[in-house]
Amino acid sequence: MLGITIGVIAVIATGTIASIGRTIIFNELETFGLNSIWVYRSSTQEKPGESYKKGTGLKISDLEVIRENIHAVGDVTPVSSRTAWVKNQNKFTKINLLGTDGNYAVINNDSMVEGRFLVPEDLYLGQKVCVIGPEVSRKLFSTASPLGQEIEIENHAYKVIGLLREKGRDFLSAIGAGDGQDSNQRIIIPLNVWQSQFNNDDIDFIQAQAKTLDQVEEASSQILNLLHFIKKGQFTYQAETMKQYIETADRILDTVSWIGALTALISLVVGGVGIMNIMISSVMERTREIGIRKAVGATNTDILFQFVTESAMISLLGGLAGCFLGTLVVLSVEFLIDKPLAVSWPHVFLALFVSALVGILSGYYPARRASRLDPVVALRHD
Amino acid sequence: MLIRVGNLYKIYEEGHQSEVTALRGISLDMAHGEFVALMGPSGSGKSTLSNIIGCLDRPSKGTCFLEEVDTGRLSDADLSVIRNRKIGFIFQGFNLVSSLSAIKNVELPLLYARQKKEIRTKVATDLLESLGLAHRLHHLPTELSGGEQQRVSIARALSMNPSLLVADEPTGNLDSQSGLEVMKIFNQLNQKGTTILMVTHDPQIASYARRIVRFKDGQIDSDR
Repeated sequence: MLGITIGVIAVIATGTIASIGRTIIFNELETFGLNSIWVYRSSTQEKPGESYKKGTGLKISDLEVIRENIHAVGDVTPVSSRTAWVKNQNKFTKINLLGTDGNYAVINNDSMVEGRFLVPEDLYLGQKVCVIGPEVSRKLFSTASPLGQEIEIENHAYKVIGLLREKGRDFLSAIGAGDGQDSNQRIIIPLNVWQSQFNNDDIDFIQAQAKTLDQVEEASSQILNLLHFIKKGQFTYQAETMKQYIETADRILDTVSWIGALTALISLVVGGVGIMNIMISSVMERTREIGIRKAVGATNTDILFQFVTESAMISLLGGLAGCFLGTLVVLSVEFLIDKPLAVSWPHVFLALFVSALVGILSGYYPARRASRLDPVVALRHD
Repeated sequence: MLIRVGNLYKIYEEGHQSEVTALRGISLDMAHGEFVALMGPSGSGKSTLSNIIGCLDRPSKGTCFLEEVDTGRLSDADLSVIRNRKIGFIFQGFNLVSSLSAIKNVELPLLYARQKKEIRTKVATDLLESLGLAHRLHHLPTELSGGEQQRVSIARALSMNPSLLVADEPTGNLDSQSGLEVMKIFNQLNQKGTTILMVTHDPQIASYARRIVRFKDGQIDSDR
């Protein structure tokens, strides 16, 4: 019976974790924009002789070409990034400095806690303004508002015009995705200001947003084709999409599900064999009782039904214990990871159904033996 | 005629070296309302015949008619029905289901006859009360004396109002007092019209019957 219980726990726990995991990961990915495409110079697919060329070959003008020619694309934004030191009075911290435009926040689903994001005027006027991430704000200003404050980025003064909302990136960090940086540790400034401060008019990468999720693949390949055409084969580019991360997540969760199913299967088989043994013993011990029941009118079918039912009951009891303990496991995990989980009811019903089925199947053989006992012989048994 | 046994044989392990013929060409009639005792030494075939008449076992050769039906030709399922409706068994070892209370044991034949719960409970309660066990309805067999257990067994045998009671050494496990009580009950039942076939080796018990059939080596020795 223990095998049944363990099997059911496995089914419930992994089923719940897999379905909730999907929701949690999806929610995290959604905060980064599900339709996103990142286009950057390829280091692995470049042609011979290309590696000596410096820079990425991407310019601001390329974005306009993309916008005009690729209809599957909604918004596009240029991004240049590097790590830099930022200082406020006597506090220092290392941050990821991004140079981009106003579209960046839209594409990345960034929202503000205070102030505003970049607007076209900031780029037009070349303003030394910045938007900072929550971790940066904590390190430089602790709990005080950073708005309107002046900070020094690599010895250049900038005014803080906005504070970004916190973003979780547990899953993306775990699979080493995206820009590999903690998004709460960013500072964002206008791209042209970034380019003049660091004397580099190349863009590191282009981030585009497809109009719909279905158009992501199409947009991605069209952008690459366009860029390869414009650059006349001088540079090779590649693209990454959020979809790929979703597929990675799905693969991981599927593996979790498969492991859970396999554990459950093995446990249920073990449990089934255990129940069969219990029932065989039970039939042997109750041989006389079977004879009595037959003597007073039980048919072979009555006896078969009685023992199969008993077997199913034992198995179902193990299943219920498993449901109870499985729910406890889910509640414990919920408490530990501090995220709400809901027990996956379809998995519970599946588990109970399967445990009853295992009971019926494993009890059938002993029950059949019981039903075929000769009443006279059975009555003589001890 | 309730029972007609014609040239009945029962052979065990036929064709093997260990072949045993328990009954050799038995012929016997039994009318409604009779009280018959089968007597004889151990191995004489009396229990074998009572098992066949009670449809617990089949003959190897010959016929056994119960209410004009040749029971030797019936299927297992049909025999179960006859055992349920027409026969009431009383055994030497009581043979109550140890996990069921007295009343549940008496209800068992009614359960297999698919009777409703209210009917089952009423019939069982009435029978146990008539046998002086009103205060023992919910006791388990282990909580009852030998005499009480046998009375529960009698109640169970009567629950479907059978045509025939088959009792195999009904007093064998009882003290003389309880044994006499059981025989009194049998007498009362027979006087009310219940047909009783009783196997016994005890002449005193056999004397309660009105006809004694004696067995020897698988054959009828005398019939009076």
